[in-house]
Amino acid sequence: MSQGPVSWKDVLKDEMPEDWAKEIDEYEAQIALNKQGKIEPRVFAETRLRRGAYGQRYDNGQRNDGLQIRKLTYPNPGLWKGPDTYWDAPGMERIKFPWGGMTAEQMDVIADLAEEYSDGIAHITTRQDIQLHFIHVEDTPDIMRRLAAVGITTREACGNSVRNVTACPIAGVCRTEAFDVTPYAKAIFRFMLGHPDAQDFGRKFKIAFSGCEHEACGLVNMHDMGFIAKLVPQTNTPVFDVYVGGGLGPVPYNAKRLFENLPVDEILPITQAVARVYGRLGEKKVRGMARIKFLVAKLGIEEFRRSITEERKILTPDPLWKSLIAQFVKQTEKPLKKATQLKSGSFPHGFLAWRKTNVYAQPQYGYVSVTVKVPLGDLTSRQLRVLADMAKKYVSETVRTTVEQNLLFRWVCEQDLPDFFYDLQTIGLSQAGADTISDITSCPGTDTCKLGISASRGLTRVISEKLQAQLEEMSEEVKKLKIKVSGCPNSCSQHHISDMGFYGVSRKAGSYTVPHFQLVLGGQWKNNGGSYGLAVAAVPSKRIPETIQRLTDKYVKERKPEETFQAFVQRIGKMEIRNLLQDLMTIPSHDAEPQIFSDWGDPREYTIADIGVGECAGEVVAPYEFSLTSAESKSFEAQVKLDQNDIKGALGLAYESMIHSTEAVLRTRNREYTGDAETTVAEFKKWFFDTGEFVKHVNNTQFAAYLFKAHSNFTSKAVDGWGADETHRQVEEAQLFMEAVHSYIANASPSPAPMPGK
Amino acid sequence: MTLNKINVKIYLEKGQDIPLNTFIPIFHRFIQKDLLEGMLVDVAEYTHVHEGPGVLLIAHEGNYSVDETDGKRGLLYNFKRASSANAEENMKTAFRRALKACELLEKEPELAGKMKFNPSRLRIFINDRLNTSGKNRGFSELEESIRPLLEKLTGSLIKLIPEMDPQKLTAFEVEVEKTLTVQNLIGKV
Repeated sequence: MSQGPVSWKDVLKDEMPEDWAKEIDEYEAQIALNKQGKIEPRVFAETRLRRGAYGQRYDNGQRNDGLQIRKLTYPNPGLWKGPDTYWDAPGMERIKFPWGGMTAEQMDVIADLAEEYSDGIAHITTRQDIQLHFIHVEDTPDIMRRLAAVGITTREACGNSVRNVTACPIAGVCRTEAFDVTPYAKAIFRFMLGHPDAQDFGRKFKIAFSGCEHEACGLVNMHDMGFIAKLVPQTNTPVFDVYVGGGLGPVPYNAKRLFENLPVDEILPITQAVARVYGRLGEKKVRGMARIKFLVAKLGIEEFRRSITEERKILTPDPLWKSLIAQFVKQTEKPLKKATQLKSGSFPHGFLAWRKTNVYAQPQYGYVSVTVKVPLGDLTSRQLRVLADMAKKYVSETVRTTVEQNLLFRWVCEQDLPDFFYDLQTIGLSQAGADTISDITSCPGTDTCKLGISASRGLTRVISEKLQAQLEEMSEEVKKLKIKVSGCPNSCSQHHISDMGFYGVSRKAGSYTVPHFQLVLGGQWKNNGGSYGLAVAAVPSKRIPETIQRLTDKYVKERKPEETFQAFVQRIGKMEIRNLLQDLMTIPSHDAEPQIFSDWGDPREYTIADIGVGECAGEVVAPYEFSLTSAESKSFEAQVKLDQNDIKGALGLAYESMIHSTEAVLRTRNREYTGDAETTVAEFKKWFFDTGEFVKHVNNTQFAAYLFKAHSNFTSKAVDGWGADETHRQVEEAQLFMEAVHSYIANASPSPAPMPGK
Repeated sequence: MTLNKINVKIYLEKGQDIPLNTFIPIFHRFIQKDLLEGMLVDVAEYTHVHEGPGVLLIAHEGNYSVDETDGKRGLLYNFKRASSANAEENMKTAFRRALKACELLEKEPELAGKMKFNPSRLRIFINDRLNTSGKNRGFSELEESIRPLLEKLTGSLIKLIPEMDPQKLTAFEVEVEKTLTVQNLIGKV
């Protein structure tokens, strides 16, 4: 055995880039200072976040074990790694893979790290990153060193910074792209990493690249900033259309076009200018309003464009603007082997089905790209090592992660496909069905995320297994559908742009809380995530498989020729869909169906806030429940009106829904509360917002901000000139405010006084 | 150099076909009743992963799992945090914790008669590449810790088969000559 003392710092000192090594040393020093109590937890939290070290569920030192709230007695009870975050609590390390690119050596190192520090699993995220869960913060410097030694930095993987720069995984091998966007994604990543102009943001900033306008590609529409490649007609000069201000999150915003036909040499200075304007003018205090989408909406795209144009003029020229692009454009991928076509013959069982769904013919003759379908994005260390070997055996290490939590091997020689398939079989990754309804993406949800409301991974596991089993017999139109599952409204799975999206919510039923998923329909994956769906119905988690079955059955039976699911939903209307699901939405009694009261893969009786269960069984319907029912109904009607393009009707109903939701909050303390909109909002503000009571139980200020903003817009008649975009957002915000009220009611203990309205 | 982060996996003799999700409520109950050593945190499920960590009971010092790595199911105690104890104590701790978990699982009413561990077949490995990589991977030091302890505990000769794959952690497959049950060993470490 090696003779100590040795450290990874010593072992790897000559293998890490000097500046990266220095940064990690500084981070390690901050860990030491934090342990000595010399750094405020709040400051240390942002420090570690900017290095990708995230918190995880139960890091506040308590967990409901199904019977009681159990205190987790971490070894150093006085030591914190953030506000209300215990030092020794398990955390997550997010590892950036710009544009998803990954070498064999990097895969091997991830395998080692997963085995030694995590729970043996490396998890691919919906932004081409990899995450390791259940790690200790003290292990993070060594994790970072081992990554740095193979060219990976975790810098700015989290925190208020430029996050991973994503790109279409088939860029460069795509049949419909204008040109390969990879060099440009590389250049922006390198340029913006640690850039001084990107260190003072109020929130995170995500950039994406697409090679095509009409495919899903890089999903530019939902990004803070995005680039779509184009060729100028006649001259074939490569240029970009630049978009800004898109984003999902609870309320999605469509990106607006900032510049058309931007010369490729201009993308770095323009990105720098956007960063400077966002850093200067973006919201800093109210976290829920701090993404750039709010700034763009506030200024309007014309004024925002003017600001960027002015900012661009005063930038000090930087030689990197051109040199980085020139450097990366020269780096082109090369195949490992000579192109050969697949010979006919007998193939292993399952090969043809797999080839049909998982293999994409590249424009380069004789080469294909292969999607390795990774259930829930989870890979073991052994799987990663075999995949790393395959990356050297079949291709020149040209592997990328995808936003659908899979891996893509590019430049596979067609003739090698049977052997490639065989190698995948040995590690259980030869499943067909990539890019089909069974290939479902999911955020971590209640498994590890602090914000998780419902078990998105548990649900995904169940429905993907069920749909995979049905895949061969399934009709082609259903096979093509996309399902995405988030554990809360924050849309980490990108549920707004799927055919069927789900996000976790909860509903109170007597003294119990029931896990639900809100069904979101009408989203569009193509056209860079071209349009966003809207919530239709909240259904208990355990009934989601039946929900999907009913929806797909109806689609198969009633669709018109060539009608997409999105068009089908639009045609039949949300009311009919809601009627189809009405019985599933009804919560049964606990005695009749106890399984409804726990979540997928988790036998504990469900709770969102560690409240005990069964305390007041037999309670009559509380008045607040009537108010919430009215709010639900108005919110849904607003969506129907929006579908019918009745802007005024949708706005009015959305506002009414918010007032009913607010009334529900007031009725938790004063059962007889009644009042007009003005009084209701004022009372809410006085008793629930100004006192911190509401925010305390929903852990977020933005929901109440939605109410105040809506009330102000309606009373001032600012809504009179609103169009479809603003109305869409208003309907979303009404829905989210109602969900927040559900959370408030589930979380807040009954409180005797004060009694608003009395 | 102290041998740290020693891991012990006790293979199954019977119960390979029990659906992995059976262990989820059982591990939750172990947490509720605080039946295992260490600070128990949560349950993690990887039933969808081929030959993976299966179902884990996440704990602060080390995880317990019904592990399926390399296609062989067993109870793994996976030390994550280094301790200041000596190699023998670290080995004993990991073995004791693994045995206790095996005993509890064998006694679970819903698994009664369906699940049996074979502590004569083990995998012991060090979760620490820093100290076990390069030319000397620590096989002799690990053997020096394992052999006397296991021979004393089992009263039997043992065979240690090193895993030479350089990508893998330093590990021995252990075969105890005598046939043993969990009950033979529990309480001895």
